[in-house]
Amino acid sequence: MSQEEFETVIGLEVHVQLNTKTKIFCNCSTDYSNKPANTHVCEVCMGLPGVLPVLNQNVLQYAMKACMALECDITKETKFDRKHYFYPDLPKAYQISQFDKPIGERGRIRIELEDGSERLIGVTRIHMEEDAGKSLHAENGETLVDYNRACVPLLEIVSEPDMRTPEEARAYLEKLKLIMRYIGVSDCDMENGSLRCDVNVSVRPVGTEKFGTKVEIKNMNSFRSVVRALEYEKKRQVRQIKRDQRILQQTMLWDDVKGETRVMRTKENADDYRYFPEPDLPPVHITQDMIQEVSQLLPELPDKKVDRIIKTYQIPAYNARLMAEDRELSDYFEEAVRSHNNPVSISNWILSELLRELNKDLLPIRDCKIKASHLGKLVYLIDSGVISGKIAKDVFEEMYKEGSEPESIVKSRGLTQISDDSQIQEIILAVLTNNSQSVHDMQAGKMKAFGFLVGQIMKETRGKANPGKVNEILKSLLREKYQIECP
Amino acid sequence: MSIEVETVRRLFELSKLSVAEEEIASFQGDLEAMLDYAKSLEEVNTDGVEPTFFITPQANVFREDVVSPSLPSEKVLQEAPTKIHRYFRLPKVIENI
Ligand SMILES: [Zn+2]
Repeated sequence: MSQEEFETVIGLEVHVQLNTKTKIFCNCSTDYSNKPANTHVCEVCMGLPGVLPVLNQNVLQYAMKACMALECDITKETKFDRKHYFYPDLPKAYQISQFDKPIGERGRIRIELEDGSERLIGVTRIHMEEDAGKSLHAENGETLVDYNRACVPLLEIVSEPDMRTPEEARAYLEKLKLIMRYIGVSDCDMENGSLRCDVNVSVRPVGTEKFGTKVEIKNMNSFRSVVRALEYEKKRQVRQIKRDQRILQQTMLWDDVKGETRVMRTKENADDYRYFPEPDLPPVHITQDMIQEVSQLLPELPDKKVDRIIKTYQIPAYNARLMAEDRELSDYFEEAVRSHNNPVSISNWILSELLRELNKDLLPIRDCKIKASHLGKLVYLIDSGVISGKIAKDVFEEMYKEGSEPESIVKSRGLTQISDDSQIQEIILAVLTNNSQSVHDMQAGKMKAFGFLVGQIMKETRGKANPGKVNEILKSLLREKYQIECP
Repeated sequence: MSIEVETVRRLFELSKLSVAEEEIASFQGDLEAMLDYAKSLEEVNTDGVEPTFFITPQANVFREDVVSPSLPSEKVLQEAPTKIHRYFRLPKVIENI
């Protein structure tokens, strides 16, 4: 059997760090990045004896938003549990997490694939928990611990083993990140650790139902490395099977430099976290009123937005998706369309010219000098024949630099398109007189000279002549005066 | 109620405690006695009784998301046996991975 005769079965466990101001159970600030070690800790997050954790109400609210956005059932009677394990970055020797009553269950995420097809990936559960501190492993073998990150709120989002290719896993992560950003609960940046992802992966012959033995992979630091790790692991597992070797249930670490996975530990006996209910945190009863209140805070979600934009504006799905990747960008598009109803052209201007400039300057759309309504106006000036598409690019450039209004740029720089027939005719006649050689060439059947003449006319008018009219009038003059028939 | 020697070893392992081989039998006896004591609860009829996870009737206790100052780091590190540059300093905790 070849590699193609196997399919991968992939499930993802994603940890998303919530961007609340304070930690999940104490008033310490969560703004720990680049801060000196152990300056954002208190008795509660250090787990000193006799302290009482109290749930941050925004953590609950953000978790509920996430559940709604991923279409989970919200657990009405939810609670916290202690998960026990020993590790120096876990000050209490247990992590406050959720076990049998996670805040959300049975959700789903719609993913779009390269070929334009869509799939639904199940979300098994979402639960709230606290982050651990950070251990640094020094060269001399010592471990240094910083507890600034301990107790920072996390959502763990576990998918069903529904993905079948590394690309689907990537699409899932991209969509999850997009949704979390839309609802404003996390920036989901894998590089700075606000999104972490472990994968479970097994292989099986295509067409079979039974799952193979799964391997867990940790330590990927970008979406790209998730894809690479999955591709590598698929090959490794298929090779093992073809050699009649058993796949061991293992935890592997991804080495991004070497581009390979290696064994971290073999799971001989299943982990035993000895979960029990956290007695210091009273349960949470989620009422209909609370759900009502939180649902009003939800923005229009990416899938709905894309569907609505495609339907309302009749633009290509590709354009709609690309713009919806940034909530503010798609708002900008809609505002521009309100000032001039040509959605296709406006979306093209946004995705080509505007994004190119913004990406070059690393600017978000909100810092763009061109007002949405001005971009609409620019497209209006093209559509109504006032300026040519070519001139519009120059006008756009000035709008981008100065933030000025397109009509005033066109006026002050005298860029109005020449569409007046008699004026164009006059210019063409002059060009024909000055380029008699080209006319002779055409009479001799060298039709290439036509393009040259058009170029001369545009040069003469500094690009302002209406190109359609130039073509039309030039052809008719050549026919009338020189009996030259142009195709 | 009997408890296997292996289970006793596993409990020590999970608790990160070391135990001398000759002590295991005595711990085994102690643990069995505890289980037998707790077993008396099985005599109570709990049909139709909801499990009790919390012993107070409280629910929905929240705090506002407002920052207050953390502890000064001298205090945080006060009881650390060894420290270096504001870090807790520990012996090596992981094998070469
Ligand atoms: Zn704290």
